[in-house]
Amino acid sequence: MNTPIKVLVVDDDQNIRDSILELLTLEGYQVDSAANGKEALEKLSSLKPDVVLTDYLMPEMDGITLCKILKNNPETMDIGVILITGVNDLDTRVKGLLAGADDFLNKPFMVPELKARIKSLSKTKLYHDFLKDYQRKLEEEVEKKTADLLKANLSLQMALNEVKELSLEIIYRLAKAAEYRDEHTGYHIQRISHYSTLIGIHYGLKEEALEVLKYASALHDIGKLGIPDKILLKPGALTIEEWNIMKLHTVIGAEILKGSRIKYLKAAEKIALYHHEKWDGSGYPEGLKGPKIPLFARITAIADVFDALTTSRPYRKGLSLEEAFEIIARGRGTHFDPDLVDIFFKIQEEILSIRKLFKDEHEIPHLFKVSQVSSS
Amino acid sequence: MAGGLGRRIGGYKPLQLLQGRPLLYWALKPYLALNLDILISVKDQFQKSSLINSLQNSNLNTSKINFIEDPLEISGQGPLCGIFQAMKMLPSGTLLVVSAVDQPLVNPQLLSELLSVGAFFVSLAVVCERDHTLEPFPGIYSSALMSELEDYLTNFSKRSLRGFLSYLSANKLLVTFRRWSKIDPKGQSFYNINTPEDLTNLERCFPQKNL
Repeated sequence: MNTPIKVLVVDDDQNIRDSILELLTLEGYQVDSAANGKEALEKLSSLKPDVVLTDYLMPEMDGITLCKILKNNPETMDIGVILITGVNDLDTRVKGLLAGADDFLNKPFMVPELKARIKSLSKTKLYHDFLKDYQRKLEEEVEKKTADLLKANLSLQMALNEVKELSLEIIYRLAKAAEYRDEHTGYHIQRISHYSTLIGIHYGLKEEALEVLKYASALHDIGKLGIPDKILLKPGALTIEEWNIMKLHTVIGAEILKGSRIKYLKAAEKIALYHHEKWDGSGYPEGLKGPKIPLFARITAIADVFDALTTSRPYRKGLSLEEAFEIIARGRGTHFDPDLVDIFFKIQEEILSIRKLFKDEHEIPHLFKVSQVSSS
Repeated sequence: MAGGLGRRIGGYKPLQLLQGRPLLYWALKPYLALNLDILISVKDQFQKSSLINSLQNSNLNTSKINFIEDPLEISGQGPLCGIFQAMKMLPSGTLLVVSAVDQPLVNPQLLSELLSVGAFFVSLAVVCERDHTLEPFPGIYSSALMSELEDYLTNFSKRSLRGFLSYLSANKLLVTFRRWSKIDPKGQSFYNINTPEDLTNLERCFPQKNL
């Protein structure tokens, strides 16, 4: 069933009000009346009219003021306002137009004209209401879809993060597996990662690069997986031939990691290959010099040497911090990138904090060592 | 409306006396008080002459009074003939304030208010509603309703003033005036005299009416 069109008749002449009310009620409109603009405003919220038919001259509040108030309120501006004026009352018409009146009726007026004007304005009002309703529903729909999308995006992001976490954890655990063959299972990997990242931060690397450096540096010694146990685990000094084989862990590491499209592994390939190169070109495997050595490898080199120097091994005690720092300082411009060494010293307090945080509490006996010990 | 035969009162109804003056005098008084142009609807030339004679003997200002006679083609339809004839001779949109010659107590303020409503709508009839019944007189009949009256007179066999009001109401060409009781609480404006007894009764009450 259609909702009847609601009309509010505003006139200080009760006879006129009653008569218009009677006529419009007979036409099927829902009609209420008010004696002046003020009373009309009081009735607005309860009636919510589609059309207001108002006289111009009234006590308390005239039709022009009523019209202005209606048209300046977003909630009532779509109500059609018909202003009843005298014939040829141009002045009132102009005032009415400025106040936002939608239509005019000359007094005395013909009833068919009144009906036609109300019908026309109520149609406009209904159209506005339809548009408003449509817009509201559209906004609700968009809001719902946006919420759904955000939810879906969040789930996707969570899944992505999970995959990323998984990948990074695998990288870490792979690095740890490689390290496990060698000396110990402490926090070497974590320390290298954090030292490198810290140096990278102060070098000015961006967040994305820092994350790559963090995980890629952990794989610097992955090539040790390909070094025979008798060389890798030899407690004494290596012969030249053994040393040459030992140096191959850089190439083997690069081989293990090459061909990947994953940025972490691509960076790790370079680090694995070049982290034993030296600034003066005396390093291996290619004898690269200066800035030709990839930055990540230069950074990892300092982190790796510092950690190696300060960590105790079964066959030797770690150096004191002073000694280690001195060795690093001596390597400035020969072994290491001088700028990176400067950064390293600038942040040595933070480096030491990392070392403290990831301190190896106790050595876990190496499986191979255990077997060696038991078999000897 | 002065064209009725007035058989029940003994004929010549407009000339029956109330307080020493003919009913026509009392019927015209409120119209003259409002300074309205007056048309007296009569049945024929004979009735017209008798009323002119009566008016000449009164002290009323007769300059704004004219007569219309029932048209021969639709005579015998009571007041509808007079209304139709008046509509026919007046410009469209003229408001006819109509009452009967046997209504001596019509309140001029009621006429005035009926007129103000009629003037607002121009093309409608405005009549009072009393006890859910429409009172044809006094009432406002716009001459713009002539085609409707013609249609009614042509197409309806049982023609009456009340029937015409129903016809207008059904066509939404009528507004009712319910606030008459604020002006005339006892509804004296609707009182009409049909018999000598009515006249006697009114005569008896007349001093109290303070007219």
